Amino acid sequence: MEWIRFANGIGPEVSPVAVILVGLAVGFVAGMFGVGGGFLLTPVLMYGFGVPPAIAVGTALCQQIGTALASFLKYRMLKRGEPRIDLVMVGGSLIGVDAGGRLLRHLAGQTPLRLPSGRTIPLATAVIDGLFVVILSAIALFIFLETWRARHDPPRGDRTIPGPLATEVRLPPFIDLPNIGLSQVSVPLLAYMGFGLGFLSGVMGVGGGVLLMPVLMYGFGISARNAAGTGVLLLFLTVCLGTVQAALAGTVSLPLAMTLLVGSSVGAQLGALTTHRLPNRVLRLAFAGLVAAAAIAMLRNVLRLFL
Amino acid sequence: MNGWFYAALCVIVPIAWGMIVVRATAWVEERLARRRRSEGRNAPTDREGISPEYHI
Repeated sequence: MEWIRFANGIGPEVSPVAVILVGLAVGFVAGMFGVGGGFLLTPVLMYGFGVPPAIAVGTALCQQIGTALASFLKYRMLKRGEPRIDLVMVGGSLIGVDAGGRLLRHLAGQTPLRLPSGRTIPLATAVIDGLFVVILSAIALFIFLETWRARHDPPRGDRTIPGPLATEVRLPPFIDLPNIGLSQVSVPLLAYMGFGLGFLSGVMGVGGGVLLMPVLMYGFGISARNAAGTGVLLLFLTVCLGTVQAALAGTVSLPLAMTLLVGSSVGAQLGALTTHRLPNRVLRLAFAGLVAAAAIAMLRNVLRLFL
Repeated sequence: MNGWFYAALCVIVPIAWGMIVVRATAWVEERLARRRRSEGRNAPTDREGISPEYHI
């Protein structure tokens, strides 16, 4: 098998088979948890294949378009999730993506950071790595603690038990979400959440699903299966805008994104079907374990730079 | 290549691929469902999904 230099001619040579297999694994996770898989793919591209940070972010966003679309259509067929949440969040999210993308390009133009070890790393890499470690660790820890706390509770199935964000934030206007059994949810709250997720998408190349899923599960009290089916439309729209911005800046490798997509689109279908058959508690723990593993891998890479 | 043309390509090509995959999956599922209907419970793909909440 011929090895290919994918990343706009400046990345390393990689095997297309390895890229397809990475895509398959990331797609499976993406479909299973209703996330785009960017939180896995961006680090893998950067550290596994040696793709430059800005191209890793842009390419991860581009390939998520395909997986997000496939996951969204699959979840609609399975009637999981509430697309109204996505539609309310999308305005804030698109502004956030733009802001995040601008920050990333600003950081890319700054002088590299000199580490105590004498090495220098691009400032954008330092910010992306730092954000990944802090956010992923916090999410994993939170889900583990919540699942441990609720270990004796009876199984709740797909029933929604309204959480603090649904009941305590009373900022009008409100919206009813009948598909997931919530009423009078604050529209401004959802819009600002969209902005925050969009901002992180622009900076880190993640679709935002990895953050949205715990917020929906614990903030709004939605079951893991419905949470997985809720963010995917927003994810799709967010990554479309992020990709356009990155492509205009010349930081998307379409051949690399499409090779990843060959594997990830199939994996996303299998993942969505797996979610349909797994218990919510198992899904929560699997999600937390995965996020923790990604955080540890990222932390290892960061520490290696310092030592 | 023109920047906007490349940006449009980066959005349209993954969408087209996603649609193809969804269509292909739906076609496979349709074939499996038809096979289940014609062969009844003995069909190799006719497996009940696990009970979601009571085996943990």
